[in-house]
Amino acid sequence: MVGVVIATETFKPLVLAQAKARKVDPHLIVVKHPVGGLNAEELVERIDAAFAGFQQEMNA
Amino acid sequence: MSDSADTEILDIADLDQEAWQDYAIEQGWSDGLPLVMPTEASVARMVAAAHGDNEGFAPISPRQVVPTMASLAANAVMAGARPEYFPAILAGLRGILTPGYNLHGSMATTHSCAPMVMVNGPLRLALNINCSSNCFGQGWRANASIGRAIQLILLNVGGGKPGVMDRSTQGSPAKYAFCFGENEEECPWPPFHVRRGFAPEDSVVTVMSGEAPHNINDHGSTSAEGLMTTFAHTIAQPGANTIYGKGPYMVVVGPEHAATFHRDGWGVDKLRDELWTRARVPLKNISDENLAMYIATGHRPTGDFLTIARGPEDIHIAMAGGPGKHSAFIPSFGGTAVVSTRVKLPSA
Amino acid sequence: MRIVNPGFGLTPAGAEQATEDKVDWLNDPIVLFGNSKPNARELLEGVKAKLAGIRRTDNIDFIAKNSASQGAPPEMINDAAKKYRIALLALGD
Repeated sequence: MVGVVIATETFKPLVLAQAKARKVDPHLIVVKHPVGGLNAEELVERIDAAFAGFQQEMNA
Repeated sequence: MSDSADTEILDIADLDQEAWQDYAIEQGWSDGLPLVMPTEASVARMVAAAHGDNEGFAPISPRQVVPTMASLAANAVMAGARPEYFPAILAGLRGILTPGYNLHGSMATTHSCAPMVMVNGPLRLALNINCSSNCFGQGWRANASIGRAIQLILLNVGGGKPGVMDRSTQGSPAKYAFCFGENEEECPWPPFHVRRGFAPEDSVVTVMSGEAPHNINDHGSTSAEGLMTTFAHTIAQPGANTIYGKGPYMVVVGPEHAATFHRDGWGVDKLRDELWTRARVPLKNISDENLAMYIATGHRPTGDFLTIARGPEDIHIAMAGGPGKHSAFIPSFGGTAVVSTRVKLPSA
Repeated sequence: MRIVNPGFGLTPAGAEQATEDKVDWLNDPIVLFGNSKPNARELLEGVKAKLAGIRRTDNIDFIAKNSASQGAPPEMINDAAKKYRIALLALGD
């Protein structure tokens, strides 16, 4: 199985540190913070960024 | 097991007090306050106080490394603890490391939770743990350094660095030290640890991932019913983390309020039942957007209210403090448990 | 002078390097794993909608752990690992 993780830039250090502790090299997509609290229009930018990151993983 | 990148003993340049503080802060070991130097001799004295305690420890999140007795003792020394406090520190840590406590979630969350540490049994008196006036506050070495030692262990062994691995939005003063004892001597009900199945002569440390205490002031009510009105409405907060991270909370009743409840025949079970049915958040106090989020994440209203616990068993009643008409509500992070661990006193 | 390192710890036994399989990004089933935080589902479903332009999506499903504050139950992770080849997880925030 392949896992791809979406995290906001704020949580990137935590995700990387967790991955290191578990000896995992994560496929990480970083989007702007926050995700919670955004309305539908604001969320579009995060979806676009997450999709672009996923496409990069697909083509890597 | 294999060693992590660090070594257990560090050979550093000779440092005076000021240089030591600067060095320790540079290493990221401090909570911001000065630290006692963990020399080999002082750490050995601390370790000796846990003689006979051979039970291992689970890895500490978020760094996921297994502590040694010496690394734990080094943090206790740095916190200013006396060696005789060390068994209580270890009992508290063991509670925190149980799966139900959810240390990883409580460290990574944006919530302001900190390990609440409550001590019961004879050790409270032996260590001079404050259970009475100002029990949540300053002035007692045991309260301050036991709570601080646990925090330093989570920082230094666990790796819970603020802003990096500890993601709390605002943090809390409780993250410096949050330790108190139950005022068993004035408590009209059986002590907390006895109600949890321990013997009265056991010394027990109870932990919960909680917020700092919220005051419940009621100088006017002269009956249990009147007090409960104030308690329930103070506790039913629309901003409670436990609306969507369902979990326990503590109510630490002050002795004068406890005496009123007791005089009117209210025991702990009655208090819990009344709080369960009455300390609920009215929907009119919650925004439509927030309510929609709660419902979308599976937290549906009960009638015209949202509950902040899963049932009366999530509501934990203790008694602490001194004279005065005040009690305290200690909300939890939510996805956590109240864990009580018997202190292993050193073998002869 | 010698001091005891307050950050010293041991790596737990059995903490071994995880490995991952090769996957077919255009056809393999994908689980969208939500963390129960606000907008996590909307974000993941939004990615799924855009994936429709470049791969099949009839085998992309959304699941979420029960609580934002607690880890996913092991059985939930194991079930997902059996059923899907790719996981897209909303983790931080």
